[in-house]
Amino acid sequence: MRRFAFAVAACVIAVPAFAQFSLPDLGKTQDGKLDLGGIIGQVKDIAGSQSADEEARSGETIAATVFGAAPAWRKPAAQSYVNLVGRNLARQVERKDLQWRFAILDTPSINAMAFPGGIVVITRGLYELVTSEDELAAVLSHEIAHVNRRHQWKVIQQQKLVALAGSAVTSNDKGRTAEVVADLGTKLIARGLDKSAEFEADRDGVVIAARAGYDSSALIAVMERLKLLKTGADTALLFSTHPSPEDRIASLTEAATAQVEAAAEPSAAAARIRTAR
Amino acid sequence: MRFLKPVQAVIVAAALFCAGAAMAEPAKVRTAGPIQAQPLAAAAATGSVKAGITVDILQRKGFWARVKSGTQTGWLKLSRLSLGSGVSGNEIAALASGRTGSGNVVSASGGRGLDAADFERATPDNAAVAALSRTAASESAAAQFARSGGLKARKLDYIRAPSTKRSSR
Repeated sequence: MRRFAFAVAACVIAVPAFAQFSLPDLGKTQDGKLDLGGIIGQVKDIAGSQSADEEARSGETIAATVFGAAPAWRKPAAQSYVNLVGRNLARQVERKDLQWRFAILDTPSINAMAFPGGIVVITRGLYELVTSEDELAAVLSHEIAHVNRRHQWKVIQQQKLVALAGSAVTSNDKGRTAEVVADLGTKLIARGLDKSAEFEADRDGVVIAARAGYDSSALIAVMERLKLLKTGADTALLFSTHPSPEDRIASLTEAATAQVEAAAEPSAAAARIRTAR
Repeated sequence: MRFLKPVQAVIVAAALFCAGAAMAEPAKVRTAGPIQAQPLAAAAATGSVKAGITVDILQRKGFWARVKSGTQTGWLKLSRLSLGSGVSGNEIAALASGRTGSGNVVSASGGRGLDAADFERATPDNAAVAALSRTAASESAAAQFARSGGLKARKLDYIRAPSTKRSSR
């Protein structure tokens, strides 16, 4: 702990010293005045690109654990179909340039998950439960929204600081850091996000689906089908990590704008899912 | 003109019965307020309902339901209703038959579902993650896929969080 306190103190002392040497070249406006906003922006850009790489690597590590628990479904036509639907939806968000990858897990469990960096999985159980491309798009859009908002990544980053501080490991110990991040990510899948993040992903998700041309109300149809499911082994993880379908319908319907309501029509592609069954 | 065979007639009659059951779905009103002439926030009120009463859902459209309460009919947003099972009679029949689902729909499959312990025990499968790149779709392939499905893109703003924009509905 003393070592950690010393490291913090060293950083506090070092930052102004670093700033003195760097400021002449960084963050000045054209008339020579100091531009603190510019400095922060440039530092954020550098940190952002490093963070995006770390985010993608961490997502792959977490996904590897999930694939270790449930393999990819050996049905190439369905895997290809989910990738096309998903990638088209991802074109509708700010982080469209991530390496978006989608997969169906071979398990009867009913769930879908997103991992930092752009990997999204849906279980065979949920894939078979949806009855149209609009409903599949609603599920995938919710997951894309989590990645687009960095919901999981933000939680992992916060918890990483605590975990590393507690174990007095410096951020230079990359192997240990990656291990901690993978462990936090896997635990997060099992524990779930805050309800507010789930409601936000529902709101964003219907917009993402509607932007792509799908029925904005298809998520409600999926929720109503989930309400029929009894709590059991196949649904335990889903129900323990998300608000109830009733609450999600109420929250989404309450928040829906007139624009979103106007997009509540089945798409021309609704029945296409049958070709990939 | 061809007539239905007896078996077909029974199936059609059963379907109509189920559709009728769907139209009579009851729901409890969560919040009092107007019922409206159309499924639009700006539509005129055709009456009002009190919280706690039971109404019959006649029709569903997107985020709205057309309901009957006594002699009044009109549209309510779904957020103002407790929908009970929320699924129509014919959908329940379809689900029970497994027609629309995997057979794991109404009850658990009998097998063990994916849970936290599975993740803790799992041996990471890095090869499976590497293989994702092979099935991933390019942006251009996805755009072509959208066009071939007749999908029409829309411009839409994100919905703001309720805490920053309270709905007046």
